[in-house]
Amino acid sequence: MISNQKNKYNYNISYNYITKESLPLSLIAGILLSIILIFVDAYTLKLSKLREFASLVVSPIPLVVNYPERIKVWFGTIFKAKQNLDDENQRLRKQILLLQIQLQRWHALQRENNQLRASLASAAAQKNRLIAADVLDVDIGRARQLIILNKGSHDGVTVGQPVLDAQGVMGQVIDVGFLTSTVLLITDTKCAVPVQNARTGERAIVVGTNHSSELTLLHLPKTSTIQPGDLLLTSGLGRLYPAGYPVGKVAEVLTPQGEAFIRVKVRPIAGLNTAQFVLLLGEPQQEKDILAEIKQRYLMVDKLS
Amino acid sequence: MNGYHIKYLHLGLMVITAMILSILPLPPMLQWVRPSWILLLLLYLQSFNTGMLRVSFIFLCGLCLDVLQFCYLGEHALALLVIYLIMKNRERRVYFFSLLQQMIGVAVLSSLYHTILVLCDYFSGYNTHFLYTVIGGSIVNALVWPWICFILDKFCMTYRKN
Repeated sequence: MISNQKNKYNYNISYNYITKESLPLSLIAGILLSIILIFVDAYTLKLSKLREFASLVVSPIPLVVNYPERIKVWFGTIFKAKQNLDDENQRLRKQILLLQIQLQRWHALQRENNQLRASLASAAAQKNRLIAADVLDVDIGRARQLIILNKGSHDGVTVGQPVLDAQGVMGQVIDVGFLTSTVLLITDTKCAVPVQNARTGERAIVVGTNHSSELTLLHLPKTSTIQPGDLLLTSGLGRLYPAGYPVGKVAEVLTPQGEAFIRVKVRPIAGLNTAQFVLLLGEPQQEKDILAEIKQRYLMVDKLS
Repeated sequence: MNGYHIKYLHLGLMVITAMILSILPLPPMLQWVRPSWILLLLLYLQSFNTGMLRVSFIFLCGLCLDVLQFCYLGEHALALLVIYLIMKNRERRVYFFSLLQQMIGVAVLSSLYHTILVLCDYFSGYNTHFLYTVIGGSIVNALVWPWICFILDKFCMTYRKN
């Protein structure tokens, strides 16, 4: 049955009315395909290429979203008063001088550290490769704590790379597109960082709570000597993050009655919400070779068993 | 003849604008009250530009949203297609509903949309706050719906196909 009628724009349009409601095959196929995609993406890594291609297609959108911020910064630099620029110049020069003095001391400590390691027959600490990146988007709503960076596989970013800002550890790269990459922040519930108390040397694992200013330490016994103000550094265990980078400061220590462990609240040091520029740490080449060799040996053992 | 009122170029512009609004940075407290722009746009197009949407187009929009919001691939596509399935063959009735009735309908569909997304979050191990996301999101979508209709009506009238 064909019917002519005018719609609200006063157009003559005709509809083919189907007397029996029908469910197109394409709609059922689409729903089934979505369900299959969810399961495959959740349990396997087979869709990483599809995700990489899709992120390349949609990559202009985060860039467009980031543009107003860049324009704001650009306007800010254009209209800054000369006096403000002079003051900022002076302040930065003083800061560079202080950092250079600290760097000299750091070089001396590093030499001493390597000599001590050599005397104990341990491997010397290796230099990490660095990649600088800008933060394009921050997604700290709903159930996730993520940021998007403007560097991808094109720039040498790999999955698993630790991300730092000027203050401390921010998170880890979990997905790499061609031009952009996604970083899981340490405040996400799915992120766990092995840490060490700088004061006592005690090791623990800090996990996120989905709040941008709170982390929590897992499974610390009541005999622990941790106290508010303690600085937590990465311990290097698990080879996720290199050792010695600041993660957070202990904010509160609670000892609930009837529980086996104490509850420790930690405040992250890195500017998770505010950082504009970040650094991605690459693995030193020697460590990469060692890890590749370990992986190969595990594969051989799996094949034999 | 189908009721295509706007060109595909303008449809693409609307979808891109909706995606930009979907990932626009907001303060943490306002993240909970962000409308589901793509859902609202597709509901409008399905209700007032019947015959324009295709299953493949909705599926691709869902995939793009999944990549932008870093969900499992297929999550938003599933939610959007389920809403499309429910609205299919009922979209012409929207013409006869008052604005308040349309808002209630949008709230119900939004709650279903958010419920599917929250269930997918639970499945992937994330702990989403159910009440804030489902009920808050539905209320926000219902409140934004009249404005969406007003703006898109103007846009469609300006760029209609002759």
